[in-house]
Amino acid sequence: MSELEYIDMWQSENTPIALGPIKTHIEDEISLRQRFRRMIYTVHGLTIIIALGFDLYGLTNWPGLMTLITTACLFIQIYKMHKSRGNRQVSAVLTPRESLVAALRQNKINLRNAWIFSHVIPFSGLIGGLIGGLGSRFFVNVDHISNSANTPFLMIIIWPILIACLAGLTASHIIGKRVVKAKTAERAELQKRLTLLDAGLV
Amino acid sequence: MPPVNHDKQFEALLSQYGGLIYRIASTYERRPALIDELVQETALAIWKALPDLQDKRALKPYIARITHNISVSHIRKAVKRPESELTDHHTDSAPQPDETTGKALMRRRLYSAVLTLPLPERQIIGLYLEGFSQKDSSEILGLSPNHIGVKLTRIRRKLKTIMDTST
Repeated sequence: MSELEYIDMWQSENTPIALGPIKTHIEDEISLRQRFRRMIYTVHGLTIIIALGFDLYGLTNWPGLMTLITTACLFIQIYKMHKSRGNRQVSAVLTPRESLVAALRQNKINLRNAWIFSHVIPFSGLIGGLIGGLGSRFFVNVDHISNSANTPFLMIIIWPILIACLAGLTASHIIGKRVVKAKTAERAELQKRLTLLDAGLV
Repeated sequence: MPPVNHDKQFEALLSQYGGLIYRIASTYERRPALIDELVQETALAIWKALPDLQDKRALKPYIARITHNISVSHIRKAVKRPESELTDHHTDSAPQPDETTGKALMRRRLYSAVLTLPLPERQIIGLYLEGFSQKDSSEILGLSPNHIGVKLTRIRRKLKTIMDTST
């Protein structure tokens, strides 16, 4: 037989794919993404409402604290979600060159997540703090219900920003440590895999 | 995320490239139930990755690459499992009713011959039999085209010997 005939023969194997389970997987994925989006909106909304609410009642420094709490909640939620899904994103390898590609890809994914943690979280707190602070300063007459009007304007804005940034820095520090750990574990795993391949065990 | 009305398009894509995905997956895994799992996992990964595809003409190599990555991850997980799960005892080696004669029998022999090769060789020959060029194969596997070329010559010779011996 010629090579072309072999190729034809190989490609004529056409096992039909069951679409049902694939559709179920896709629906699960869509639902997960929707839940994630809803969770983000809820946390942001709560940050804003709580910050505004506390500021209205004169507890000027509370937006910062609430921002810290809500961003911490957000951080925990994102981290939990990342932990449950992260393992599936890892690519493994068969050759040294591929191992390098996969290791780089893996690090990129982790670094991207670290970037999200270090940017999205402070940003979330910052928006909450800003809207809370600005809302109470400009859109509500607080003179008779609180002492917000007596607080220097910059302090209202700066508190939440500082605390949110602190939360973000802490988060990125923790994630940064995990990235280093993941890199080391991944390298060890790749090496183990290559050794097994060389030994003909796979 | 692709819009929901792209479902039909995705189904069409799967029916067009389903065979390719299945064949590539079956060069990595022998057990039919696990091949099905691999195919499902790959289909989901393709669904997620499709919006990132810039050049629509490169769809076939793109799908092959995703299948390759998912299959390699699958192998990596398999390495961690206890040895008993890695053996071929669970392989469904009995021929199907239509595989006992003619072309189907030859196809089964070719498939079995490919499976006797070591995994790195199976990857290269699998892509060759799918009609991928050396350049495409090199991009999918992350190897240099020259390396693919050299290996391919040896693997083809080896495969021919196996096929001739089993005749």
